[in-house]
Amino acid sequence: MTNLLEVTNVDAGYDNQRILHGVNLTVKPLDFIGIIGPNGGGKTTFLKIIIGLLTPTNGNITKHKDLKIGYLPQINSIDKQFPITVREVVLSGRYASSSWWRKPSSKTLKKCDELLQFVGLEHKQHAAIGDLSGGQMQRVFLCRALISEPNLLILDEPNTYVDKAFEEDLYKLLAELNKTLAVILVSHDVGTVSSLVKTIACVNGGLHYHASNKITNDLLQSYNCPIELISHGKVPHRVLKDH
Amino acid sequence: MNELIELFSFTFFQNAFAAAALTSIIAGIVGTYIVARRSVFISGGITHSSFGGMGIAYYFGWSPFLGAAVFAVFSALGIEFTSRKGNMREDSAIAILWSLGMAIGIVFVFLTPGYTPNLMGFLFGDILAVKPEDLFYLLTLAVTLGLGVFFFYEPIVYTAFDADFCKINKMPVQTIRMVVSIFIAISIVLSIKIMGVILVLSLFAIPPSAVNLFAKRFSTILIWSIVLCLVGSTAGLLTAYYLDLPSGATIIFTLSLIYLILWMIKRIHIYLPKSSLISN
Repeated sequence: MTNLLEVTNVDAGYDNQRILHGVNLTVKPLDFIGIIGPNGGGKTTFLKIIIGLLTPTNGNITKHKDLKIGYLPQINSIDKQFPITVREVVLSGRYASSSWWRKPSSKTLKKCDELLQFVGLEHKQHAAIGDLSGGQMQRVFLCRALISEPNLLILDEPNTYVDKAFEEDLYKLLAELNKTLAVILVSHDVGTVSSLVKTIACVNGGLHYHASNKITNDLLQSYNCPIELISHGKVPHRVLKDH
Repeated sequence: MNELIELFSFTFFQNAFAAAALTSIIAGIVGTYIVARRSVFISGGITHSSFGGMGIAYYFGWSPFLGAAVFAVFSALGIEFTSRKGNMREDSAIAILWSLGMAIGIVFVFLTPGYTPNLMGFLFGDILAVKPEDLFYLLTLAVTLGLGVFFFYEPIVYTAFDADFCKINKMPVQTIRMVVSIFIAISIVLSIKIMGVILVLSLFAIPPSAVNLFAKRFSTILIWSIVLCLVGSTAGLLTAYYLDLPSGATIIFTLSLIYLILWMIKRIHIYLPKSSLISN
């Protein structure tokens, strides 16, 4: 199976500040990689490198010719008062598989209807994006990421604003989607990550790849990845080692 | 009523009205974009810097509006470029551009030998002095903008909304934004003739802001901004004529008044229970 994406020995940063050094990661089809790490450790910088918004100062990114990325940004990076409708936002995602000057095809319009129906927002399709709740907005951006039928879905902190009711659905959906496409999920919520993903990468200056979804405190310490293991059950609680 | 018909029989008034109508189309389209993208202040910088080009052109005996256009386009591209690099504080850069342009303009107008050009006309506009060739330029621009928005509505709106996402999808974001910036600059310069350097920005900013109180869709705001701008500038023009007031300033008063009325209607809508609105 050919790799979708290969990150080889990459350094990156802004101005004179080096945030990532010597990072390696290979993304294969149907991977489900959870990216964890402390704030300021370079998770977002790493994503920017993958999606092509930031050029590495050193090293290589090799992308498969058929790689099509669907990207869900952190929604606090969006201007929520911009006059744009839900439907327009979803349709704006189609350019990964369409030229920028083309009008949407009937297939794309149908896909848009299906996606909005799927996330339960078909009745809101003509509403302004700013009139939605944070969770609803997140769903719209998920639809935008999916409309071009990507083979790699990248989600930056998708559970930050999603309401708990939809969070379950979102995770089920991601598991379902992962049957046909690769997923990279960035999250501060380690408990969620470990229950969902197949492998884990801890980003903290460097990147430590862990080919399993079992996280322990010892593991995190050995990777120099200072995060607390917190799991969300009915009551938020810290996950402890067997004792 | 007869007096009104008689007024429209004057060529100067026909020209003024045509200029107001064409400028309304231009201001409605461009204004909606700059208000949505929150770049009203940037556009203010472009407007005032263009006065520098006007002054220089006057001094050398060239067309003042050509000078203004060159300055405006270069400042627009400069701002687009520096904001992309992100290594200069944007508001400071705009303020410098703003006052430097005005300073250059004033110095060159002052240095121009012989008669002093009509400074007030540049600063506050003179719609009653519109010539047929001005109308030709305005018409060409209005048609170009209209076609541009019609054919490239989605790329224009989407790159304004979320440039990073569009870049990921390999859309030519920088090119689209550069072209839009150039058209914004040209639109500002051609509207200066009508509204003047100081007042032109309100013509672009007030109608979309007013419509935005009620409409949340880019295309809806665009169309109603044109209508509002047309109503405001026609009413302003007539008022200015009858009360013998400066036209540009009167148009701004009219538009501001419309904004205030719409704002109050919206407030009443929010505070009154729905039933009382219906029963009244």
